[in-house]
This record gives sequence, C-alpha cells and structure tokens, in this order.
Amino acid sequence: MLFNSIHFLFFFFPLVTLAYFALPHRYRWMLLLAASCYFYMAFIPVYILILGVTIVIDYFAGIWIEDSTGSRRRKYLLFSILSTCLVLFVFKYYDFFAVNLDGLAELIGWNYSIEVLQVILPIGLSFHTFQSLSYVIEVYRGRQKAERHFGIYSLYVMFYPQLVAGPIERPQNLLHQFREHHRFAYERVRSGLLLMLWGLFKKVVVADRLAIYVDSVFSNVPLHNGTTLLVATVFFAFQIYCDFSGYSDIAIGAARVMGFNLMQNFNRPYFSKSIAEFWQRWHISLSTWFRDYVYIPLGGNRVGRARLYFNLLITFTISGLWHGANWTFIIWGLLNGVYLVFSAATASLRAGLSRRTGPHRVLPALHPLFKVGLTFTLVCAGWVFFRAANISDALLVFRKMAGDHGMPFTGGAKDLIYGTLGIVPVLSFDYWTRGRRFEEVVTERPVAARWAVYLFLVLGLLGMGVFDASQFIYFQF
Amino acid sequence: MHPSSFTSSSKDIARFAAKVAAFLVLLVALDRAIGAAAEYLYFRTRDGDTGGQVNGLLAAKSDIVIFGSSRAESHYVPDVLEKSLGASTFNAGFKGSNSLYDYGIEQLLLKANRPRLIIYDFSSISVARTRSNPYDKLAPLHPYWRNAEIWALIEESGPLAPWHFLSWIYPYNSKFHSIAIFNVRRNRPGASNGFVPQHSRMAESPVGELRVREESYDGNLVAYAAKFISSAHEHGVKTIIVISPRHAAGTYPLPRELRMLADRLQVPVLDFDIAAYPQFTQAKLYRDETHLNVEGATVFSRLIAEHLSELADPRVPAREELPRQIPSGRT
Repeated sequence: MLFNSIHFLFFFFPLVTLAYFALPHRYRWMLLLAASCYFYMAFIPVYILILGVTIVIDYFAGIWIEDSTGSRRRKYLLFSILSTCLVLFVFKYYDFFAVNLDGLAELIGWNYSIEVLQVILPIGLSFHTFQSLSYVIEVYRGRQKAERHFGIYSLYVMFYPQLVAGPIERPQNLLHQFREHHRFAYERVRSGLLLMLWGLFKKVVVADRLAIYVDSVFSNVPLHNGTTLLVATVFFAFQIYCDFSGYSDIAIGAARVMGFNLMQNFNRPYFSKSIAEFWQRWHISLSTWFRDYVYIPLGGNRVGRARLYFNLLITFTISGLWHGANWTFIIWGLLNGVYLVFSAATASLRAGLSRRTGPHRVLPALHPLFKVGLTFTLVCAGWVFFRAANISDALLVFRKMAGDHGMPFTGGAKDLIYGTLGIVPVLSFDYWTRGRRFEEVVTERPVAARWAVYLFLVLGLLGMGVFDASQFIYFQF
Repeated sequence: MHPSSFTSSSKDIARFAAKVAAFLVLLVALDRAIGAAAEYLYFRTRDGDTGGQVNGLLAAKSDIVIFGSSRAESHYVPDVLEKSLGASTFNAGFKGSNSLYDYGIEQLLLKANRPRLIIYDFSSISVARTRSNPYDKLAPLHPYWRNAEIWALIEESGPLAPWHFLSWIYPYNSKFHSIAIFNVRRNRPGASNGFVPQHSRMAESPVGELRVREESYDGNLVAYAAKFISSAHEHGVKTIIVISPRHAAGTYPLPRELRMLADRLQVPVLDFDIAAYPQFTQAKLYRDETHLNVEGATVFSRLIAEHLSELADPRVPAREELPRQIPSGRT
C-alpha cells in the first residue's frame, strides 16, 4: 500500500489509528502486526512468506545467540547473517551476478551459461534485511536482549510505517516501544499529522511533479541537449530528496501519532558544506547502519591512511550495491567513496591553502555558499549515475553537459512551472528551520500562522499535487 | 489505566476532535470558494495548454473537427481547410492524449454541437500500452466532471477516483497558470482554432524505419478508439481515419478491431505513408521525426483539403465518395 494513496490516507491509516487507541494495550501489538501484514500484502501478497522466513530465522538466531557461549554465538550469528543475506541475494542480486558472470565467461571464450531467475524483488526487502541484521548483531554484541515474544519481534521488523522504506531502526530504539502504553496525546498527534502532511506535500506536489520532467528526459537522453540534461539532473536531485524524505516524514509522522518515535532520516542535506557532512544528513538511518556494521568493524578511521581509504571505498561501494543490482548504483557508491577519499587526502592541503588565501576573510558570506554549491554539484554528478538507465547513458549525459547546450526542453511547461514552484517552499522551510524539525518550528507559531501553513499544504496538495499514486523511488530497493 | 491519565486522554481527544472539525469547516469553505472562482475563470478561457481549448472547441461549433494527439495538433491547419473547403474547422488534437481523452471530448462535442465531419488522426500513442494509468490522461476534461459521460470515465478509472471530486479545487488541479494566462490572453502565440504553429525544423537526416507493433497496443484503449468511431456513426457524423505522415518508412498498424469497424461502417482510412507521398520525405517539413512543422502542416492540410474538395459537396462528403488510399484491411 502506498502512503500517497486514498486507500491509505482515508481508510487504512485512520481506521488502524482509531482501533489502536480504542483497544486495550495488551491487544495493540496484534492489531499493529495484522495491519502491517495487510499493508505489505497490498503489494504482492505471497511475498509476505519471504519476510516470514527471515523473521523465523532471526527470531530463533537471536535467542540462540543469547543462550550460547563461546564460538557457538559466532556460529549462530554467521548462520543468521548468511541465511538472511541469501534471501536478499536470490531475489535482488542473483540475476545481476548471473548476467555479469555470463558476460565474463563469453569474454574469455568459456562456454558457460547461467539461467536467470527473473523474479520480482519483494518490495522493501533490503530495508527489512538490514533491520533484521541490526537486531542479531546487537544481540550478539550484548547491547540488546533477545526478544522472546515472537509477535513483538515480528512487529519490530514488520511495523508498517517503516516496513518498506525505513527508517532502518535499531532494536534498542524501537523494540521496547511496543511494550510501552501510548495514550492519545493532543500535541503528539498534531505533530505527527503535521509531519505526515509535510511529507505528503513533498511527495505529491514536488517529487511526483519533477518526476514527469525527469523521466521524459532521462528516458530519451540522446534526444536532449546538455542544458536540458542539466536541468533534469538538478530536478532529479530535488525529486529524490522530496520523494524519500517525504516518505520518511510520513512514516515518522504516522508512527508518532500512535506514540512511537522513529529516528530522523534527513536533515537539510542540500545545505551541507562537504560530502562528509552530506552523508551525515542524507538517509541517516542507512548511513549510520553502514557506519556501525561495516565501516567501524573494518577499522573505521583508527587505521593507517591506505586502510582508511580502502574502508571508505568499500563501505560506499557496498552502499551503492545495496541500492540496486546495477553497475550504475555501484559506480554511484564508488564515486561518493572517491569524493571522501579525496577530501581526506587533501584535507591538510586545503586547510593550508585556505589559511594563505583566506577566502573566508575576503568573502565571508560567499565562502559557505560556495561550499554548499560545490557539494551540491558533486552530489548531482553522482545522481546522474543513480538515475541513468545504464552507464553509457550516464556518460552521454556528462558529454552533452560539457558542450551541447541550447534551449532547454519545455515539453512539459506545466511540470516545469509547478515543479519549480514546489521546490521553493521545500528549500525555504529547510533554510528556515535550520536543523530543527519542521513540525516543531510550525507548532511554535501563533495559531493563525499555524493554520495558514496547514491550509497552504492541503490546498497546495489539491491544486498542484500529482494524484497518480506513483511509487516511492526507494521502494525498489 | 490510571483514572487521571484516562481523563487527560479523553480531554485531548475532545480537543483534537473539535480542532479537526473546525479545520475541516474552514478547509471546505476555502476549497469551495477557490474552486468556484477557478470554475468561473476556467470556463471563460477559450484556449490553453491544460484543456482550455476544449472550451474553445465547444464554443466554436465547427463543421469539421480534427481529433488525435500531438500529431493531430501539429498537422492540421484549420485556416487552410476552411479556405479550401469553405467549412469552419477546429483542431482538437491534444499533446500526449489517448483514445480515452478523444472519446471523452467527442462526447462533450456531440452533446453541445454535431459537426459534419470528424477527422480522426490515428497515432500509436493514442492506444499504446503504458506503465502509467491511461485514465490519468482525462485530467484536461476534469472541469467537465458533471457531464454524465465524463463521470462514467472517471468512475471507470478506479473505485476511489470519484473521491477526488469531493474537492472543488481538484478539477482545476495544475490548471491555475493556464487559467490566469488565458483570461488575459485569448490564444497561445500564433494559435488559431486549436492549431499552434511549430516553426522549428529538424536537421537533415536519412529516413528512419517505423517500429510499432500492434502487440504494444492496450486493448481497452483500442476499444475506446472503436467507441469513438462508432459513437460518431451513431450520431450521424461522417468520419475519416487518417494516418498522417512521419519522417520514417512504414506506417502505424491500425488495430484489427478498428480496421474491422472501419470496414463495417465504411469509414475511409487514409494512410499518408511516405512511400506513396514522397514529398513528405523532406526533412524541412518536420520539426522532429514524428511531427510536421508549420510548413509541413500547411502542405499536408492542402493535400487533405484536395482529397475532400474532389467531392461534390466538401462540407458533407459521402463516405463512399471519399478516396481510399489503401484498402482498409491493410496494416
């Protein structure tokens, strides 16, 4: 079920929320689990069995790890990680590796052919896998007690607001909340609903509008000039931001209405002054997952320079692969790793240069703006790989941007107008809130200003939204 | 549960319910006010890029009306047809439209005024299977949602689709810029009777090959294209199907259902395949491989007018008298 569908907004969410507060606390987990199963089964019903398999494996693995000592703990952990990752591999990566191995075999003249499975990827499987893995790893590390209640554990990995696209929660933050009794609290419900409304605005008014232009350009790269491709790339940067942060806001808001606190997933990423800062502000739940479970176990930054660079490159390459079984995603991840390696390798050189030339003294106001602009440009270069259908399309985009300029494509003039109009409030609110949460800042305003914001958002949705209930980009991951 | 916490929660629920009710009242009032204003201003427009030309079409009461997608919009110059045939002409082609849109606008037209001739410019895009919901293409007709035929199409698009129309603003979704512009300006630049001249020229290039297969057609959209033809026939409006030229060898295959219907109703099918009309191999007549520019559209419109003027009474051509460039069974 999609958050931007009438089915969710007018039926599922209000009914589940009403039933949640009407039920005695001891039955609420059952309601949420049943609702979450229904929510997931609205996509491809039979795929819930796949989640069921990983839930059973990791539930028992958690208990076995906690009850064991010595090397058996490690064996149970490995069993859990390998079996959970195997499911992900079969559904997400098998065909990619099969096709590439086939190509490699052909290249070296080896007559070898592997059948591809061509199965549809269960929606949100990567998110589900990572949340399951974080549970068994935390139990292994002794930071989380194994959950003995099968229903509560199932709910932890199935909780509908964050089931298909995160935020990827840690068990320490979420599990205990299912045991807490949440009362209906006016301030909290209002705050949750406001966040949902803001997320819906970003998705339906901005992201889906920009998507129309971006899709028409990126599906026919050879037909467009560099100017058009530049506009489409910048639009894609805002499309993916509004799409994914919009989803996260709706998820966090829906959970908050019922009394659950989910982690923040975005924090004004396009106001970052460096790539490192960008990754602290973009898809925070995934970035911190990779930091905690890949980067730090590899040695993090408490290692020599060469090893540090290797750790950065490998972490970001895996992050790229997590996003999709396609070379474009791998290169996108690798490119971000290269940015960070370059940044780390030239840090002292750049600091020295900055001290000598003193751009911050000459142009104190423009210096941070320049840094924000440069970071945004580098991020956009990465988005070209992320959005292009294949590597040759991505390279063609760069070639055209370098020289083939002219009047931009205005085929969808209406989409250009409303898309640009939609970006303005998003950027303005991001700037205005300065790192504080949108709903906090709005609810501090006088009642007239608050209601003006509510009405602006709802009327904006009705007047400028794209109501084709299109999927969220991150669902494919 | 502790009694005091229960009381506190109940108070919160009552406060929340009161605020929601107040907000809904305000929202509905604003929605009605803005929606009514948008409705008034929208129906004053006679042209636009988001459906305003539908108003122009219904007000024009033309003798000849051209339907189709962007190819129809770019290929037929009403002024040329009017001068040659002495019959008022309106180009109701609309960029990116499909057969659902064509059928919907035809129903509006047949209710308001019966033209004497309908030219249906067939293009594969009108019936092509797409990833998106084909009913989304009805958006330009949403202001006419009170019309029974349009409402039936909206209901068909999904069980929850009619819910959108609880809002009075929704029918004018994404049309506000157009409403504003075309209340000040009458037409799009250079536009006349629905036709917008396109002046750019495509670069010289060899004639490509058309690759459209009938299997890529959507059965429901083909059925609506057929309903479009049979509806005109039922209302006694003469119809011709035209496959206008493009800078490619080959032609759009007419769907089998449409071919059979055209045979049965004796609807002529004119195919301007460049093999039979070599003048349309010139790149200077096109703005891109699929669309004629204004120069090409003028040449093409004269050619269409010649076909029609060969008849005794061009304003009311008898179906059997219309030239049949190809056997209607040909794909």
